[in-house]
Amino acid sequence: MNEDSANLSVDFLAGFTIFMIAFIWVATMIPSLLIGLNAYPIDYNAVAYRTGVILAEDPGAAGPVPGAPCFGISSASGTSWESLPDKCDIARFGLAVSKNTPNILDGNKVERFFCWTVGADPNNRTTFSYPTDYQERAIFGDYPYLFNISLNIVGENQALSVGDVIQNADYGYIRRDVMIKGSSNATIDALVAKTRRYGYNNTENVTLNQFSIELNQAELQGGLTASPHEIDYPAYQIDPGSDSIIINITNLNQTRNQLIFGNFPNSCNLVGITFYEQLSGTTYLSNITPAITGYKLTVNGTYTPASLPAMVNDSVSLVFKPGAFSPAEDADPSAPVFINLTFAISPPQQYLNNTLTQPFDYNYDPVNVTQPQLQNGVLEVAVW
Amino acid sequence: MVNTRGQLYTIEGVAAALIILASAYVVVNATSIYTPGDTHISDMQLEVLGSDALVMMNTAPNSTAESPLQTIVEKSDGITFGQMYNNIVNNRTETGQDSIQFMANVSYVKSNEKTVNSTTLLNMTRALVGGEHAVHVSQWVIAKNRYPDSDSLRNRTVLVEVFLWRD
Repeated sequence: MNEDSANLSVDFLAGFTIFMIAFIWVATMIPSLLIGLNAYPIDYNAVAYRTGVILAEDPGAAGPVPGAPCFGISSASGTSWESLPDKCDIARFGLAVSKNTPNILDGNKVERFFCWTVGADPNNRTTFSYPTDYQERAIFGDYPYLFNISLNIVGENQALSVGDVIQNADYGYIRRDVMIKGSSNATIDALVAKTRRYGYNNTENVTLNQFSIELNQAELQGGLTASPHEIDYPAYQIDPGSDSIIINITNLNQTRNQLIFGNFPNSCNLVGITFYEQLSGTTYLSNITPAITGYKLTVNGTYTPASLPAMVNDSVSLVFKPGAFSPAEDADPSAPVFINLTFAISPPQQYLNNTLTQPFDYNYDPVNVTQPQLQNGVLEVAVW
Repeated sequence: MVNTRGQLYTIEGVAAALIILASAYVVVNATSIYTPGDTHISDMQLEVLGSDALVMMNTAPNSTAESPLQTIVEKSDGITFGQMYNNIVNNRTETGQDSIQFMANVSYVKSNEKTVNSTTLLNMTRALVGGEHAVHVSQWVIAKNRYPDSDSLRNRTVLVEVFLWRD
């Protein structure tokens, strides 16, 4: 008996196949349908908000960049990413001084962040390129968002900015009010230092006069609770490891005994700048090796000598770049560091000299050091 | 054997496919709808900004100074508060100011009556009449004050509250 009721009809197979193909095709369209939704301003605002939070409230991170086309693998860590010259060592931007100080931005991080070029140059591993370096480290997400990030510091004419000009009306936006931490500086008026405050003057007439400046890193980091001017809030801290340190010595000529030596000396030179540290557990000073080189010396207001000795008239200025005392160059990050200036003067006479008293302490005493100031600013993030 | 039974299945399949395609096309082309729930974005932007401005005013510019907000609360200096807050909250990176309106109050406990006094108006750019869609931000401030005036001068915790809105 030829019974065909249990057989599938070829027509049914054809119809069902067409149906399934159509169904699968529609199913594969669903993800792209969600991407379409994703790209609308609702998402732009969320990304702008996230970027604003990362920049204003996060100190950033050093380390390998996930997925970035960087050579080698970084072993850097910590939050002081601004002092790392190689951008492959920087995992995430974040401008905050520390994770405990939201909205207080580090001036050095700000400076580094807004130093950029357009387009990628694989040979340039120091300057950030727009947009890829910023997308990988601040914007994040699979979609290649374009953006404009700008920062206006109150009192400065020009706003800092990175990114494209905002062109269309359809972008996500966030504005954050922030404060920017500046650096500290010490102006040592040699006349005041000599006569009134510290007695920084040798009573004997000598050829080589030494002046020593101390950066007690443990004290600056808030480790010495007995310190009279202890500060443990990062927004006001002086960190020789990541901040710039500025030392100006003025009125040097006034430290001579001008009653006896009325004329300007035959020669008065700065002959040496040396760096020592007192490692923990020792009582003696050891040389910092390799010697610290990340500083700029200016004498007499304008002259930058290429090498020592340098003729000194009245003033000496030392500007240490951020990271000059970084852990890489400093065996013990909490050891006191001493900066010794040696002046050779002829004929031998009194000059700025504290070998018989104590070093000038670069600390939180506002009489000694102009403390870091916070400056108001506005940070805007636009994403499209 | 030829019959017509199979043809119906084919037509159904094609029709179903067409219906699914048409509906998918409609969905894909539909614009995303800005639902009432999404208004939280502009509220959030306003709230972040207002809160940032209060935090900034409550931060001393250096380690030896007092924070501006503390000084304002100690002196009940509504004029300085108004100028400063207006400046910070409406400041932009490009030229031109934003136009956010605000009204600020301080609240504190009167130590003799053990009641909360929150009517002191710090300052406002415009009176809050009720039609505005305002957000609320606040900041605790420690200030040396007398509440009430007969009290001794000592550190008191004061709540500064600000309502912000756009016209």
